[in-house]
Amino acid sequence: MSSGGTVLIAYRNRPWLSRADRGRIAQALILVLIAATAAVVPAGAARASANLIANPGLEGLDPTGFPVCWERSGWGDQSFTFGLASPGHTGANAIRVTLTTSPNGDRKAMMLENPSCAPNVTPGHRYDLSAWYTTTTANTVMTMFRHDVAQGWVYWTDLATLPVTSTWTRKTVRTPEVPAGTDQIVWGVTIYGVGTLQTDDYEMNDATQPAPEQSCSAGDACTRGVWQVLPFNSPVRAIHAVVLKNGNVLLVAGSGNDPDAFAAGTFTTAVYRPETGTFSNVPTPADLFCSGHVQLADGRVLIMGGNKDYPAADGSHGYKGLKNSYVFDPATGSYSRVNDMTAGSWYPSATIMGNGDVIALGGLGEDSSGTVATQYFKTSESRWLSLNEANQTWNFWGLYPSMILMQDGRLFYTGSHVFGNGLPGTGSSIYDYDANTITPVGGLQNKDQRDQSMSVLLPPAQDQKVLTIGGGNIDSNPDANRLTDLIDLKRADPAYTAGPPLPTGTLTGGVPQTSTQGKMYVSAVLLPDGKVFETGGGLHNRADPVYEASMYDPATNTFTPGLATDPVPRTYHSSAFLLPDGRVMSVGDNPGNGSFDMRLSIYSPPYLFHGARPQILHISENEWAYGSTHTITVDDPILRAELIRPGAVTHSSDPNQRFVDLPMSVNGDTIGLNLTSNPNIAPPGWYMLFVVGTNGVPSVARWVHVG
Amino acid sequence: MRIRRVLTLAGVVALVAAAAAVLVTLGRAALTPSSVAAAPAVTDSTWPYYSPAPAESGSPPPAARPGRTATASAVPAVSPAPFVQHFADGPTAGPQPMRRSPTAPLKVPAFVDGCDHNYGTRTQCVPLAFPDGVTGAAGKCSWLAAHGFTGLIVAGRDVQGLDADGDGTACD
Repeated sequence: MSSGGTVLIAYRNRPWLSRADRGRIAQALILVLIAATAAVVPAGAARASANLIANPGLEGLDPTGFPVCWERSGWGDQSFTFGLASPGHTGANAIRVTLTTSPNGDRKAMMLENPSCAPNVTPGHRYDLSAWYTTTTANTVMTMFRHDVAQGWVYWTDLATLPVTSTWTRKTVRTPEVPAGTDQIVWGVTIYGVGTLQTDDYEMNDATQPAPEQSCSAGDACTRGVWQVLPFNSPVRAIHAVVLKNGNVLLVAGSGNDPDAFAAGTFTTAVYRPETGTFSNVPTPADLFCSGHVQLADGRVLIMGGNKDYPAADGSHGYKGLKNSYVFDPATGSYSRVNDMTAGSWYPSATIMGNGDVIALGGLGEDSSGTVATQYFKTSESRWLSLNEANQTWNFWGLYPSMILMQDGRLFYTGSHVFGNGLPGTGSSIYDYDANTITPVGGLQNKDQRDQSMSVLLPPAQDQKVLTIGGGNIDSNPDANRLTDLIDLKRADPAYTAGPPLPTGTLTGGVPQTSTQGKMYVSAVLLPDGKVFETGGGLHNRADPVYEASMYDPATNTFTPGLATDPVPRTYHSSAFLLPDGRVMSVGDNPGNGSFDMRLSIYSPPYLFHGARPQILHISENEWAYGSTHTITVDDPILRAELIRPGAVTHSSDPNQRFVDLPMSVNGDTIGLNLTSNPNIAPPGWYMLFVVGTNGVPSVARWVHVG
Repeated sequence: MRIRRVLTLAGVVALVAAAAAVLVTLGRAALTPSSVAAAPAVTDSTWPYYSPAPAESGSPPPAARPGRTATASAVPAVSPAPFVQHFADGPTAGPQPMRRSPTAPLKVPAFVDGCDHNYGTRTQCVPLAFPDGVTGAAGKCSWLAAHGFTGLIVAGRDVQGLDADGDGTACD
């Protein structure tokens, strides 16, 4: 008793918990708090495994019975329902979206676009997004939006088409690098056809890989790249250049702006093999000088028009356009004739459409007049439609008008053209072949001095942005300019805005350009690292080469000046294009004195000096259907993968040049590449497949066929 | 001592349980991002080479779940329709008026290339307009010489006055 009483008294006199006990509890509390904090605070790369999605299992419901942090989204005139399916993939709930009619638009359950529900992201990071789903329609796609600190919420991109499945299936896709100025994203699974889609168990993890240490021991080449003038000349005047599906290059001269050759009926073409540095001459059936050209869906090259005559010295007639058209087959190395065009075409544009057909616009006719016909090549019938079979606007589009295919099948006339002033009005427009309308687009600076500027659809094509660079005017012959113009064709009312000025270079003799001098005859080449290399050019009409090259980065809208310059002048009748090995080839120069530079230059961009090139070890197949996923294996981790359409360029004009991002489903060195379902993003044809390593170095391309 | 230890242990367990309950509630209510760790190896069961990991995401295989039809292997390949966005569909400018079928050729200047083909061979290009600051016959001839023009014939008319001696060769 006493002892017991003593114990009790002693116990009452002591604190309820000893110092040691309090310490232990404090430690435990700290551990719990750390765990809780780590669990609830959104993390970046430091916690690569945290699921960043709020209510990922859709189990928390709001008062309306819809999952917290999710919303019913979409547009269009469908008959549709949103609801919950029970049970879900796990837990009680999944979201079910059903379309019973779908004349247009789409529906999707999306994360709420608000600060507490939309996952936070870090610019420059990449994220793996995954969801479990079932769908009864192949018209199902993962779609992302991003919150731009300047623009608000904007569409970002579509990641992957989800195949039909009646069992719960998981799809995981890695985002591209989060653009600068983005602080949050939302994403979801979209249904745009009649059917039922169920989704559940969303997940989003930071998949950013640390960049390896950059090492480069190549001196100047590390930052400027390096040019090599090949020790042999082109056997033909390389006025037209087309990269073929086998990696060779078709160089077309026709008469090559050489009236003697024209008078003699000597028309030339050569095929260059970069791997061996050898050429094959190709019998050339007509004067294909001044023709248009585009790769068809099967990899053959459609050539249209050409030069029927040079201008008379007395001005009684100008250049005359041929109606002839041919197909060049890389397999046989020969031309075969197809039916004539409906009108002569000297300097026509040629754009392949999503259905594989080709629209040619502009140029000069057989009598030197402006060709106002819309000329339509129906690939399935391998023929040019007659005038009445094609929709006609009777609009004159000028010479080599740059007509870039938009994601909805319309054509964007960029305002880049050849010779003289731009078209009347704003100088750029959107042409809808189906509706037969032309709608002006504003904002292009100095549209009458964009002669022999160059326009490119910026990487990736999914972003629908176009850059137009430089230009001059051969009629008024001012100093060519430094203008650049950027347009975002995703906007409801797209308009050009001024881009950063083109860097200045030097003129003959190393004379620095003034601050207002730029260049025409610009070549712009899409590179596999997602940047645009611009090179070559001149200050005046067929005179005064400009030695300047720079790298444009679409992600930052900046030019990196001071890249190595081609030692060979590249003005009128010059071109540059990407080779499948990641280098750039530059050809041609035809100054006003009538000479022609037959030298060939090769540019190795800085990325080729920054470490090992990733290798594509295996491709599951090289026939790629739209909306499909294809597996490759690589030897090292990669940052991105893309398709680049091979060049078909002349006169600073290659409207078909495009870089199509391939969102990746990454599983170690096995990568699923997800191709868009939209042929207007990647028109059918052969493409160069590149992957880019974590060191920023691209692979050598493998060839795949789309469509 | 034993009581203290029991109390201490009970306190810690209670705290951990409470924290866990809070976390589960948060995760369920989804008011904050979930703390559920992601599977480190990301998979994609639509790949041709996919073989699902048995423990992935902790859920039973779909076929074992009641009320589901498991016919994935019989799903036919169906091509999706193109997914097209409604971009650039709100221009403030209206379309240009439709043109009628032309009744006459659209005239384009014969020297559309900006070259005065009165001079030189047809591949040469004496500019119709010289760059700023290049004026007069002397200035133009000097410019032409500096740009490699030699033996420049007058093929048409000497409209720019470059053949002062009228011998059919300009700038000599």
